Amino acid sequence: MSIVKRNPFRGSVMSDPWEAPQSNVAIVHQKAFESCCKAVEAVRSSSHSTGVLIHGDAGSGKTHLLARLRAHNAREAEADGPGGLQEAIFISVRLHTSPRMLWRHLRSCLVNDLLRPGSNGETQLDRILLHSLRSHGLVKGDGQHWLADKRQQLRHNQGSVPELDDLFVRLTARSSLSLNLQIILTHLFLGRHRGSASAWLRAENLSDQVLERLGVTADYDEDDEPEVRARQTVTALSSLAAPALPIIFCFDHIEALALEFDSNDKDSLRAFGRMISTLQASAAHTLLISSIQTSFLDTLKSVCQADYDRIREQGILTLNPLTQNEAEQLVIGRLNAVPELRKQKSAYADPLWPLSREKLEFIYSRGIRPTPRQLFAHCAELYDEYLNERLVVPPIEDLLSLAMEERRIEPVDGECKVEEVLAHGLAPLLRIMGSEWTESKQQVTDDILALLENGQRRVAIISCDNRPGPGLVSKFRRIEQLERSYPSIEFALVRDPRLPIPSTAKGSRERRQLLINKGMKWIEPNYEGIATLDALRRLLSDALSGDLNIQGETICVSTVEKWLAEQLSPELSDLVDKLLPADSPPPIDDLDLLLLNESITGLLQLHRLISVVDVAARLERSKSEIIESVGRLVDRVGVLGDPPVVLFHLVSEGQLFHS
Amino acid sequence: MENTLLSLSEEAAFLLRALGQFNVPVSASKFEKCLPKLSPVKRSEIRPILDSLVEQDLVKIDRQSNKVTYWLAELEDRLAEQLITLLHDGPLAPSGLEGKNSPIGSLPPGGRKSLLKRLIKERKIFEFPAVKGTGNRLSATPPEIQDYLQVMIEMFFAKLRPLSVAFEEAGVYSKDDFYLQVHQMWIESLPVKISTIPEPVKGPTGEVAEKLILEGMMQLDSAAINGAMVSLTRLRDRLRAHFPGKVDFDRVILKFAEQERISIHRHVHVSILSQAERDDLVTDGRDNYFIGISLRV
Repeated sequence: MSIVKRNPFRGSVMSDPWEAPQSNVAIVHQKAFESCCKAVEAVRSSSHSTGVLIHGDAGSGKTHLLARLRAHNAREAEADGPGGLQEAIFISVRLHTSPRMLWRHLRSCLVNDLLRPGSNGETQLDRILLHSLRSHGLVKGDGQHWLADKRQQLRHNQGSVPELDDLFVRLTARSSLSLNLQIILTHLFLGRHRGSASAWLRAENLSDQVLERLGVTADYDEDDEPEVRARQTVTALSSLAAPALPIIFCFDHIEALALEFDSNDKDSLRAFGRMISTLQASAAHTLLISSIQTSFLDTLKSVCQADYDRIREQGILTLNPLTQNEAEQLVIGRLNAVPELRKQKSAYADPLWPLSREKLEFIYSRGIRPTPRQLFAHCAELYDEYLNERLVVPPIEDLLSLAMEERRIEPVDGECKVEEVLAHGLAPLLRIMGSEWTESKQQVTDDILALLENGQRRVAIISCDNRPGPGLVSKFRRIEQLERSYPSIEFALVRDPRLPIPSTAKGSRERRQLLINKGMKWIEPNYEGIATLDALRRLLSDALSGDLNIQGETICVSTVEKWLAEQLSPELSDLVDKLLPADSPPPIDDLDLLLLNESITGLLQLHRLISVVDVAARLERSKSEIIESVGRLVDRVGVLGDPPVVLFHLVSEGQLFHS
Repeated sequence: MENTLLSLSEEAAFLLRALGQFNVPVSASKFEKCLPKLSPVKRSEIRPILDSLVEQDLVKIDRQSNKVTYWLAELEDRLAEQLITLLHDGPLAPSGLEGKNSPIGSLPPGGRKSLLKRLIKERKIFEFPAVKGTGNRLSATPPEIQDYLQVMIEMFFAKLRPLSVAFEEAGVYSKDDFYLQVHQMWIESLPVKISTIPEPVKGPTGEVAEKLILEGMMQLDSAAINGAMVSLTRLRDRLRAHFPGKVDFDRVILKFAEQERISIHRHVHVSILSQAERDDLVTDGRDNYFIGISLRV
């Protein structure tokens, strides 16, 4: 009989409720699970949304509980038979974002999960729309068959679906589904322009040609701030929920909203409280599950009392450490989850084989009761002993270094958003650097990603990633107004270097020049700097959420901060230097250089590979000017030859920057 | 005893009274001979009745080959008290209790052995290895661990001393640093984790303490009965009149948690707390700080 080499207790951290639970042991957190199911029932049976608050120690199984709830709903749907309706729509929201971008982050998570394909290729959005059509009597019989027919008929033309139009008319009576949103939902339902339509839902910058192809009008509403627009999309999509098919929002890692944990930052969580109240009020059939570490439960109570009452309307569920019996059942469950091991175990009377009760008792002899993560870490060591292997535990510095590198080269969803990275990561970075600059909590406008201050000066960091054209021009106008309203504030305007403003966008360029002439800084941050800052803020978020551990023991966030302070990369220092005001104003010829840089970047985005001679000819510049300019674009332009003969579009490591 | 006697037969009560005339154990044959001729108990009934009294633990018995000895349980209790008094004066080897001067010297060897076994089990006397010499000793008080360790530790330090001097002279470690490391290594080498020397708990313990804690939890949050977590800082404040000392409250909570009727919840980012905030939490002295308590439901 061969020994099962795979240690069933390794890899016990579950960071995403969409992962399939390795094993479920009903008695563990059973009451909390039942309470969640009851809360789903409460939403179904009443006509209003409600909330549940879950808390537990790091590694107590909060995310596992959410995964169990999701899997339970999926099983209920399968029990209805093929084509049966899913019992609930499940949306997972890990709050690794800035409180200034809460709604934008929620919109992104909502869209991602609504468009997440199930085992049969059907998305949650398909399900919820199909369910609405059936419940309004607009589609009868086999809905999926009907949908397949419609897709077949309309996949390659822009035709609409009368039943869907009818549904939107009925829904608009109680929600605000804009015409653009209706068109986009129709495309997605019919499987048309999926890439562009989902990008529109995420409010990504799309060209006029793409908007035209989608059949939607450009949205240049100057009055609406980005958070307001995101909120409108979220509440409109949430209004698709119905009593028989509610939406379950699972807000996990709430504590990561407040990376300013050591300054009693209450504002971050207050923003979360307000969001929950707004969601409850605007959508009728949603369950809002909030999950937080016990260590931060008291901080959550600092939100407005009415908001806190809504967060916990259906109760506060405590995930307790394990009793001895629960621990044994959990270990047996994990061992039985490995089929080869289960087969071998049948020859032994002890259900804990190859471990034993005596060996497990060690963890209880220390008095305190373990969390599942601590238990599994202990069992992993015992299993290694059984295998006669000994895993060398790396020093904590090596572990953090590896974790940082993983996050640097693998951004969330394959893309890192510059504005989200700056809004969430800048304040902790300044603290780690020991800078005299800190983030002000003053809420001026959603356009400001971060308002930094050092006692004498204040700097507003503003993202200008809008698509060149009317949208960007209106953004520049808003900045001008801001400057007039807040003359004491200095402005640093940041634009993703992947989005050069082409020479054809004359209005945008002129308006920008006006702002630069007023002394505002124009910054196109270095790719590597943003990627490293993204890794830093996600590492801190994971540490704060208790997801970083060594042998089951949570690595304290202050340990991570200390390590980061010692490892600070030059890219981060450069980034901060660029963003914060220099003592002297930028030289005036920088503007000309900026325009030239943008023109070169724009050309390379179009042609990818181009000779220096051609670039010089196209831009009506000398070869030496081009070569000099390229020397300052090492992070985005590659050169071949010495002196450079050919230029090429440079893509940074990993999948960080998708153009 | 009086109630027991009332429930006995006239014959059994008579034999008990007769046995009570003896201050030492008596052999069965001698006891039979000493009974008056007009005894209400027939000769053939004496042994069966005595054996039934043995079963009722009113009479003790010792059987050695052909010799059977009886004595009253009351007599044994008196002798045991005398023995305990003697052992309070200092430890004695079991062999020292065999002579005529011993309070239990009159008991047959089997009776002595079973009496000692019983008293040890009842923790009225203790048997432990001799500090000096070989064999075991009996005493009415638990042994002093220092008596055993003092010599060993002195020998250990006698070996360390030249090493510490050599290190100090070489300028490698000061005496303080050297012994600090010795202490550290010693603590880490122990087969069990030692944090602080436990002191006796002041204030309520056991069921009284549990009741106070549960009541305190309910007063702070009525949902605690359904498992809602209550802040340990607030509970400490609430129960300060009953548990004035931090250590006492902490120890009672930790003990209660071990019984698995309640759960206590750890703060995993303690280093972000101020010292004052940490002091308000419950700690087990092993760098574990607990923030809340909840009833397992």
